[in-house]
Amino acid sequence: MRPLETRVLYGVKLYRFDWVLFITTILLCSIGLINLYSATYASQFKNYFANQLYTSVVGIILTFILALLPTKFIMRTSYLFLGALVVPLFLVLLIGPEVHGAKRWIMIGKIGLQPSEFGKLVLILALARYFSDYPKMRGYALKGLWFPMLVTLACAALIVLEPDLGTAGIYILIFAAISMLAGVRKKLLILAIVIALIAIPLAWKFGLEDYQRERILTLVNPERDPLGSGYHIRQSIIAIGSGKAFGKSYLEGTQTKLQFLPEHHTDFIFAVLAEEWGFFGSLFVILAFAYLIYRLFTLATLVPDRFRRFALAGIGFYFFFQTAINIAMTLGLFPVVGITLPFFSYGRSSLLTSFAAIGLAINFASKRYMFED
Amino acid sequence: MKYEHIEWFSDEDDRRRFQKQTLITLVVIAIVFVVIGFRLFSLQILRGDYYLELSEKNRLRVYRLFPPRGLILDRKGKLIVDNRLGFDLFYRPVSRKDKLTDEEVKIIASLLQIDEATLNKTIKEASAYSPSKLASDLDYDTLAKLEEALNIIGRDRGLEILLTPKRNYLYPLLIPHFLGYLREISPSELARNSEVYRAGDLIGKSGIEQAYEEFLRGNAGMEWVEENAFHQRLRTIKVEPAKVGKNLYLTIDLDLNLKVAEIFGERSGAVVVMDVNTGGIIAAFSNPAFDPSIFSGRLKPELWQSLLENPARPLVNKVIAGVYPPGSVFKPVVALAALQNGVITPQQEIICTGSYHIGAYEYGCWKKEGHGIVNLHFGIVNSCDVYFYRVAEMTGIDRLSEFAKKCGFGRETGIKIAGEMSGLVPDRNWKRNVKKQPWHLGETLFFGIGQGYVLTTPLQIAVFYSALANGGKLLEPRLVERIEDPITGKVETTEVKVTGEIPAKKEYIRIVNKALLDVVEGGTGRQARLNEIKVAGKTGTAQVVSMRNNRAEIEDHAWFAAFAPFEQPEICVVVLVEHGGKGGAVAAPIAREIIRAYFEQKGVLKEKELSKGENEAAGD
Repeated sequence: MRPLETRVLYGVKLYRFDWVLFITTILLCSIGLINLYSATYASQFKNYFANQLYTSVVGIILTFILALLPTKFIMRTSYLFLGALVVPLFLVLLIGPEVHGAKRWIMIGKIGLQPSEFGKLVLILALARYFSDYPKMRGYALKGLWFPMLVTLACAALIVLEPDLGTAGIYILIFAAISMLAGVRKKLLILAIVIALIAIPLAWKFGLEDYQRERILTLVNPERDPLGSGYHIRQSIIAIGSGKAFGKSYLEGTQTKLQFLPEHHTDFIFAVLAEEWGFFGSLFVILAFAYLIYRLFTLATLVPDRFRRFALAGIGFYFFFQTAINIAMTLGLFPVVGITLPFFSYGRSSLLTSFAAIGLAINFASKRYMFED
Repeated sequence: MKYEHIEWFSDEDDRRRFQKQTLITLVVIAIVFVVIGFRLFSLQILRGDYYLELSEKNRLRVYRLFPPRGLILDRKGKLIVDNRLGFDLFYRPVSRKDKLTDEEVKIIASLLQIDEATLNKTIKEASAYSPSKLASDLDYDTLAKLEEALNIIGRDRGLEILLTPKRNYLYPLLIPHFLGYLREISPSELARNSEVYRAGDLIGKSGIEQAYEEFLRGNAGMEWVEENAFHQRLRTIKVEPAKVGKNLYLTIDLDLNLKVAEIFGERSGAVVVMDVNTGGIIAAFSNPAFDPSIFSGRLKPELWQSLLENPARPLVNKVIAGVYPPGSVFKPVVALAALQNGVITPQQEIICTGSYHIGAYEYGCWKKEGHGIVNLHFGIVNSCDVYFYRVAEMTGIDRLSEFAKKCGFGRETGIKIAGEMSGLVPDRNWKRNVKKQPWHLGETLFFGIGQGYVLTTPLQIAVFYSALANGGKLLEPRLVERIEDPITGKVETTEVKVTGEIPAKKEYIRIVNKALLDVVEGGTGRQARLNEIKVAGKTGTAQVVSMRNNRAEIEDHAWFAAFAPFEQPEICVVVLVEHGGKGGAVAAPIAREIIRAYFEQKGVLKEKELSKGENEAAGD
């Protein structure tokens, strides 16, 4: 049936644990924890650091479990999981507790989980299987893409209802990026661009709430609303800028300690890092993230089949979008959206999802062409 | 089947194509990271100094807005406790320049008159997030000196003088034991209630301030303010307004209380005036007192020591926590116990020869020559000890103590103030368990005249006499009449609670009350008599042996318990003068003046008139 299969199999190593990926992860997670301690040690309300530490331990265990699962099992169950994802996404809307006007959590006892976070990985796996099941040499036309697109949009739509535009956006970006990687016919590409050009002004006018428009406008002109949404960006930029080359040193940040950012332990955690560790400290972290992403894409080119390839690339895109959008947001380059910085932001679901992503990546990267090493 | 629509191509080609696409992706990603890196470089390296300056200038501060604590007013709405503004010194280090040198600490320590080590410790605990309070309620002299010192040290060094509301006791020495006072919250209280309080907050530590803390305190608000490095406000970001505490209207009548204090004078002891129908405490007085505001600032150790060592025990609330043998004011309890148990009839007579003999022991009556033929009425009116020795012996300790307990003795009255004592009603079990001895008959006799082991608080006596006056209902004493929300104007009235009943027939209570009336009309309590208002009451002289200067001295406590008007009782007055002497001579006139003051205020009595009983010697 597929004549080349045997030849390929001969050149494949059976199992290989990617320590590089694992150690980079542990490094980022450690710096993240140290940084979170500084951001929250003065809090009287909650022991953020301890919570995050416990979650990290669970996360590392999760990494190993996922790394050792049979790849075939993951691939076979990927559609099942995507179908199952719809249930918690609906449940969140029905019975989820409302926090700051959004219903994003499912409570399991006292533990709140965000299905939309874990859903990012579920989507990646399902898309990887789709592009593996239906390979196209000369790129995909609308005929080959409408179904996964519809599924992605359906998930994104449920998340928009929470409302969580940022996360819904990540879903669409992940779909778009994996599709592009798989190859899209020129006709469809032009069509997509045209639709986007028409949709954006319409969405601006009808799809966004006032506060969301305001966030985008303040990006263009931060002085526009210095007490409202512009205030956070402005304070975040002051915090980052005031760190200068070497930072104000650990636990000595003044901007971030004074509670000017209500989300300084979640969405704006990078500002704490940049203020205390300066340009070189934050650049180091950015480079570590960049290396992690680079490694994921490199591994994607080394694995022997399409499922592994697209899954690894998808995880690479996941880390890229999260990291780039979050940091760009704190730097005032992107509108304020609720997207976390992996391993740095406080949050159980976000942290566990990042660890799970690494676990899956190690799993997929375990089988490689020998001659590439 | 499955592969029908699959294009056939080599895996190798597919991989190469993927590698090409990945390369493009990585280039795009690299560009994004370069843009981010350049932005970071531009913010931190190129414009770092500018932002550092901004971060020094613009800083957000969160202030807690302390709501005024609820007011405490008397039953007519007259203010007893309100709030005033005071100055506190805080230290909030924000950056390195705020670190204080040893010399600066020395200056501050000498100004505040505290030692350097303590000050250093407090300073070390301070952070930008939770500032330390170095001193509270500064007086104007210290304040002026501090202002001067701040000019030298620098106003931008984290030291700041803030205005905070302070408790203002309008009548400092008036019922401080009941009002209570505020102190800084202790770490254990803070741990239990970390959502409401912060370190350094004041919390009610005794009396009403403690018991009604949750109503009085209100809710602290928050204010987010942007300030520059010189602590000048640039703008307010957000305000969460504070919620004012609720006002308490007491059952206390301020004017009557002031009058009570005036009448009672310098003596030490206690007074309770209780509404016999509602249990409301109209006046309460425990002397000597203390000024509760000494606790809100830094308490001077010498002052504390002198309060602790004062033999007159100014810190003890003698109304609820002073336990005394009740003496003869206890006799109505014994009389009712005997009547109810059918041991005696009101007509039954005994002969008092001035003493009572059991075996080799002799128990004397206060009137050494004896009362002659005595029945119940005569026994109470003249407080004949021999009569009550006999009655007690006939009733027996078991029935006596059981009855006394049902009358509210030996347990707390339930007043909503911490520190109430339950007193003691002795019985055989108690004697065996605590004293490890069997019960002696002599002790039953002592019980009959309210002496020996039996101990009561003035409040228990007031509850019992109120019950006599209202037909038998033992009421829970109330201090707070209603709680008012000053914003909504909603008023919540506290409920009248009956905790028990005197377990005796109404008829017996009437007989005893009639005797109590005659105590004042022509018996031992003549000094309590008023012309226009009929007073019923009972004198008591409690014998106590106390050690002073290493030698035993016998000093009597003078009691008087009364209710008035006899026909339709309104108030019950209990007076206890520690080491005052005879109840009839010392306590009764005080009770009379208090009753007079009450009815004068009501407009029933017009002017001060001379009562018949005045200045006449009375026995007990």
